[in-house]
Amino acid sequence: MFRKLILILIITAIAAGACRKVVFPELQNGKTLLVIEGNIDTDNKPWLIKLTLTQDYFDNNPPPYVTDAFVTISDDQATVDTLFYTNEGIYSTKTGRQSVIGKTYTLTVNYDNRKYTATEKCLAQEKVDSLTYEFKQQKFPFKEGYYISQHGLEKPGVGDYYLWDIYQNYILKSDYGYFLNDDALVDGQYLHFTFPFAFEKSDTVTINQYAISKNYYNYLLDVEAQASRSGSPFDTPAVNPISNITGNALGYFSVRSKISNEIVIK
Amino acid sequence: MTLLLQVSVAQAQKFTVSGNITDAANGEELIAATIRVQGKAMGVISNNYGFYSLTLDKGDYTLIFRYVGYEDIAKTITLNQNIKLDIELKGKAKEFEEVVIKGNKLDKEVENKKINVVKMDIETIKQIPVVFGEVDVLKTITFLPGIQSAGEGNAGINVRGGAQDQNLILLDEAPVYNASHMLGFFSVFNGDAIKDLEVYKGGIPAKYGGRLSSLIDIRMKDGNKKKFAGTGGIGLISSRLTLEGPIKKDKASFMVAGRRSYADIFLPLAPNDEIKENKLYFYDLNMKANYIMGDKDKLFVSGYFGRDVFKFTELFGLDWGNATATARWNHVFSQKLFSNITFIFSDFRYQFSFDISDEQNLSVTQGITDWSLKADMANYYSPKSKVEFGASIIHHTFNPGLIEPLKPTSIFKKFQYSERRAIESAAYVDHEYKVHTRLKLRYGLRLSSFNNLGSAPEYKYTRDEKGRPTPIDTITYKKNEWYNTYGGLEPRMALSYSISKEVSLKASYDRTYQYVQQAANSTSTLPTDQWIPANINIKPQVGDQVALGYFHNFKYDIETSVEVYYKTMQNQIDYRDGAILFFNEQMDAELLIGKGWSYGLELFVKKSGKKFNGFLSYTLAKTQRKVNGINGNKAYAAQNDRRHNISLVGTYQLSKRVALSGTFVLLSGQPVTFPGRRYGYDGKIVPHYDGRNNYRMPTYHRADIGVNIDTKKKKRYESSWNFSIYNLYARENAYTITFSTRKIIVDGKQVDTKEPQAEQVALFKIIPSVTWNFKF
Repeated sequence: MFRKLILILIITAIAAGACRKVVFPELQNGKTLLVIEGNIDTDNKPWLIKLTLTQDYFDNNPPPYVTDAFVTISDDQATVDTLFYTNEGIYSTKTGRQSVIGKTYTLTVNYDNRKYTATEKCLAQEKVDSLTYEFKQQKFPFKEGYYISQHGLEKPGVGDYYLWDIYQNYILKSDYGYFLNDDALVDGQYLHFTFPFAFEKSDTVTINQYAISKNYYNYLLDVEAQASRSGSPFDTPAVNPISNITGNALGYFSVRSKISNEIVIK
Repeated sequence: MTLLLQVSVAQAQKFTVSGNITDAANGEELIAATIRVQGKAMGVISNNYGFYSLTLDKGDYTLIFRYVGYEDIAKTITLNQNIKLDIELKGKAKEFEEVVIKGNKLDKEVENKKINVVKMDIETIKQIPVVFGEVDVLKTITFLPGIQSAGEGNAGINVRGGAQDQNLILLDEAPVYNASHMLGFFSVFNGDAIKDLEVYKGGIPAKYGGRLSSLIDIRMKDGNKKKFAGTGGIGLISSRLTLEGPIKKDKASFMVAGRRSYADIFLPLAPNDEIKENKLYFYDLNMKANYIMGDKDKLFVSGYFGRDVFKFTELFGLDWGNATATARWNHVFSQKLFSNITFIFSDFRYQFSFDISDEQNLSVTQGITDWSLKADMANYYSPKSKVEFGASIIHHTFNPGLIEPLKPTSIFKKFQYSERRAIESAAYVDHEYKVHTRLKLRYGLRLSSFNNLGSAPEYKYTRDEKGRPTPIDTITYKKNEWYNTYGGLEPRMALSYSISKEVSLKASYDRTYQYVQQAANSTSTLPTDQWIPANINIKPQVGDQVALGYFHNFKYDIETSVEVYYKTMQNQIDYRDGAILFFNEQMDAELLIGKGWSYGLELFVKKSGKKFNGFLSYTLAKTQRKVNGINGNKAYAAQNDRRHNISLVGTYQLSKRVALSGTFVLLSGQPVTFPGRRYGYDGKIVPHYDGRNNYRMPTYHRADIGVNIDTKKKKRYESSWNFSIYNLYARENAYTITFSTRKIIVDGKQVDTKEPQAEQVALFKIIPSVTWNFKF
């Protein structure tokens, strides 16, 4: 009887556990700020910069686009490229451009009589020697499937930061957020590491590895943390990610080097 | 110091009566029992080891020995020489027992009430189960004025606007660095192993230091010196068993108390194979042994060991816990001079590990270890005057992270982040003096100091306009090299003036220093929150507090008090935006330094009686912080700022065997940061905040009820049932409010609609529970 009672109580207790509901706190709307998004890398393609404005938190419309700004990107050898408005807040160079490792680039945006600038250096990285795949049984939380490993030297010297974009049949796997890492624990080693995502037979897997700046790495971590707060007290505090743009604008202008590798699972 | 001199000019023909006061049933020492001289306004209280000493002029006296819930003993003595007089007090029969918030008779008299101090009787705490029917000393004391729970599912407590790491939690004098089990749902203290609990919200005696805001002094039972006995219980979350008994009757005894949770025992019942493989449990063990070596010496050894184990399949593991050990030697030098030498060890560590492949596996260990030695002396000059003095030294080792590969093929190499070591030392003197029958004074001075100890690198930084640090210089100190000394004088004083037998006024001032702090990055008490020492970049925290109190007793056993306080806190730490708290050799660079202040009003009304006992407590307070680099350098509400805090607690003895209990709490919502606007980045919706803690969570309130039924006494054992309901009217108290996007399930897959929304999570709705307790 006692055992039965305990069991009933436990089931009740668990069933009575956490409950969620949507609420509508009254928010005071702050100042409207300019938001700048742009990444340039070592691939040859038109450079794109997106300019939008902040909006009310519960406003479900697309963000307000900035259409009348003057946007340029210059390098440290005084080459200046002007970007022209296309649509949905996006400004583009007329032709393909690519960043060069070791050079520093400056984005300048003139909007509403104010000037915003951001500067980043294009950082070097070692090449990736090869990708391999291996079939693995299900081992929770990992699903059964083919896992991709990457082999190559990590650039000697602590202080390298990486971002990976992983594509399955040319579609970006975006269900895991940013896949980022630094070299603090593995500096200068010849690495063999496995990406924790399962692929299927005959998939084409593309892995883009970017060398990014420390500031951008931290920016992405904060964006990720803020955009996906789970609502537990274990969350990081509410903070605004630190932008590299001067003049109180939000967003980030990132310059990086890119290495792309592809493998087909046979 | 003139007062000290006056006292030391002792008059001739004075003699001392001293001894130990114990419980007749089990030999347990009685703390704060009172010894009064009949017909005179004189008396003393037994100390934390049951020892008392009373010095009087030559003559005949009748002494009354008294302890709440026990029968008085009167002894007539002829004092023409020093006398040793040990007393055993007998517990009263149950129906007369006053089950009250520590209603020590002498405590009850307004004259002897201490400002800033709250006590709660362990038997009362056991009658008020908190969530899941678990007895929890830390959660229960938050019903008292000035003490505030950090929230549901959180073992943290805040005392008068202080942060969670500003409470000195001592278990048999050993500091406990992380007092939570199961990430904060329960505290680490097993109610069955505990004898006494006292909380100082201010006016901390000079004997104690190292934390800014409070002293929570918890003492374990010594163990039954008369006969072998046991207590235990079976509850929803855990089961516990305590065994105690004499090793040598009336001379030596032991106590062992164990507890283990069994949530994971039920995991195999889970419908999901994946959940079955997980593990989540805690256990703890309290042990104590003591030995009376003749009239003058007593030895105590006690220890605590507890662990939480969380295993997520075979791949991820997290376990953490405290270990403490205390060895104490009490020695009575003369009948007036009592000494106590204590050796203390305390260790908190956690280990995280993952093992996802032959190449990717490692474990991370972090923690803090203390070794310390303390000498405390008490001199009972006369019933009017008591002097305490002593010194202590602590050796701290902070381990910010040891990385170890689990397999030789791992890509991770063994790596130790630089350990930090430090010496914290102190000396103090404290004098309690009855200037006049109406005026009592307690004043003391503590001198504390802190030295960092090599070898370790220290960094100097410059900061850019966003507060991001860049190290510009590294200084490496040699092994055992002392560097960077901090120190300060900490005056403590308290004054009590009796206007009449029923009314008294009290005042206090105290200064406290804190040299170690916890790097907490979230509101919860996580085991991963690192303790870090003061160093060349982090100055010690300094607290100053003044408090005033008015105590008034009324007819029908009604006691009331009003206290007001104002407190300032210097060198408070907070994190810069974007701080990196893991694997960071330069953690001190992530800190911003500011100041905090708090003020408040505390009301307390208590009614004691044979059947009904209860109290009402109300706190009105405001706590703010100002840190350059946060909130545009403007003051903001501190994390623990709650304007109103009301608690109502009552117990009622319905019949000889049935007792009812009920509680109600209401707290203003805690400050929280909500976004003003939002923007898109890389397809993600990012909230934008205009300030720190600029909104409030909804008001929290809850009622609990319980009933305790003693079953018929059996020949060999007694048992009782405790039934309780937590959150009786199923209030959905907001645990969190999260701003994110709406996710829907389409064909069994989660899809993000990209529509922003705010979602509230309530943790516990209504929780009935049952516990069976036994005693033999």
